Amino acid sequence: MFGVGTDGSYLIFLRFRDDKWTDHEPLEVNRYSAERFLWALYNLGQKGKPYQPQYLHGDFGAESEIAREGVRTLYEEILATDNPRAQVFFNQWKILFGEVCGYDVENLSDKLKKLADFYVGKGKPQPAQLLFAVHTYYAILIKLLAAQVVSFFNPWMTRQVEKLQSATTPGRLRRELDDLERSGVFHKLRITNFLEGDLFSWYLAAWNTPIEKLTRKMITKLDEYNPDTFSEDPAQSRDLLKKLYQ
Amino acid sequence: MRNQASSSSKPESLDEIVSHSAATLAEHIQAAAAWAKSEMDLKIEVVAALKDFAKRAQIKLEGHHNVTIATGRPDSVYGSVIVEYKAPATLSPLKEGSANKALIDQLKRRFYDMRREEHAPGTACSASEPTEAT
Repeated sequence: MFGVGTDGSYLIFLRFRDDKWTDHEPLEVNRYSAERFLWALYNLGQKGKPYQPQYLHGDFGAESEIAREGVRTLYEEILATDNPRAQVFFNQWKILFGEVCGYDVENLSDKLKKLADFYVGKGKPQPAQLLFAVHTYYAILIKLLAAQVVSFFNPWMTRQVEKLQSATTPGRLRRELDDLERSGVFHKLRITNFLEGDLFSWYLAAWNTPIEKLTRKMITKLDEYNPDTFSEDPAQSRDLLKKLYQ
Repeated sequence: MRNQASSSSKPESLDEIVSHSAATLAEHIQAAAAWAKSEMDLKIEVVAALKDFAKRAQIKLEGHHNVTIATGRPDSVYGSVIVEYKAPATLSPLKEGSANKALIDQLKRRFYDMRREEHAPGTACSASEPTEAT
């Protein structure tokens, strides 16, 4: 947040960042103090939410509507799909996750039961599919965010969220997401080994209307954010996900 | 890092646009301060200059003016920027001046009220709110 006060002779600036207020000496109104005012307006005054952890947490965090709907959709789709590629990715993930975590992902612990109650309601949940759905949901969000950040800092590129928003048909959206999953935007910047062969890209193989609706919803929500806030407040943008994983 | 203005019909870079607009804005504010009798006179001049800047920079500044919130009406709100106007010759060059301090407290209160009214999950303010009314 940025506050500005003026009586025509002086400009007073006040900013709230990292849970602290910072105010400075009053500045005489001149082209330099006016320039500071305009940069603040340019970066923070435009339509759109700032890319800051608390906003992302509110929109995409565990208790958000999108997260609940998203995890449920992905859970139902991984349970239902007979797409061989999606199944291979899921089984591969089960092996890797079991090795990394050292426990049986098929075992429904109390914590997983609570997670299942929260996301998919009562019934007999499948813990491995549920965890895979949760991981996939956050993986999609993180990929979209990463692509948006790198496209913003390269002015010659179309901003990723804008590009995805322009994909108005299901087929086109799938192609754009496929390009993202194949590291399209990152390869253009010579960033390699970032996304290739990601197991969480299974949703493209199982692509259908519910998955399309979910990804479109996530993209539309991200489109409510103002990317210019990345540059205005790099300290805040450095760990955008901190409230999502805390 | 700041983007460059994208349109080829605009030869100015964004830095140039901001710099030139700032000079114009400063002139408008100074001129208004010389004749204005109220904060409203000043506000009208500044709002118009900011609109010109937005047009020149090809951005959408969504300004809300005098919207009622819990503790009153912020003069103008543009996204995350709150602007308060005071009658000419109210503020002083000293940070500790009473009018300056009152303005800062007012801006803080506006901010807390706006945060509260957003009602968005996860946006609760963690900083201490000012308790003294000024």
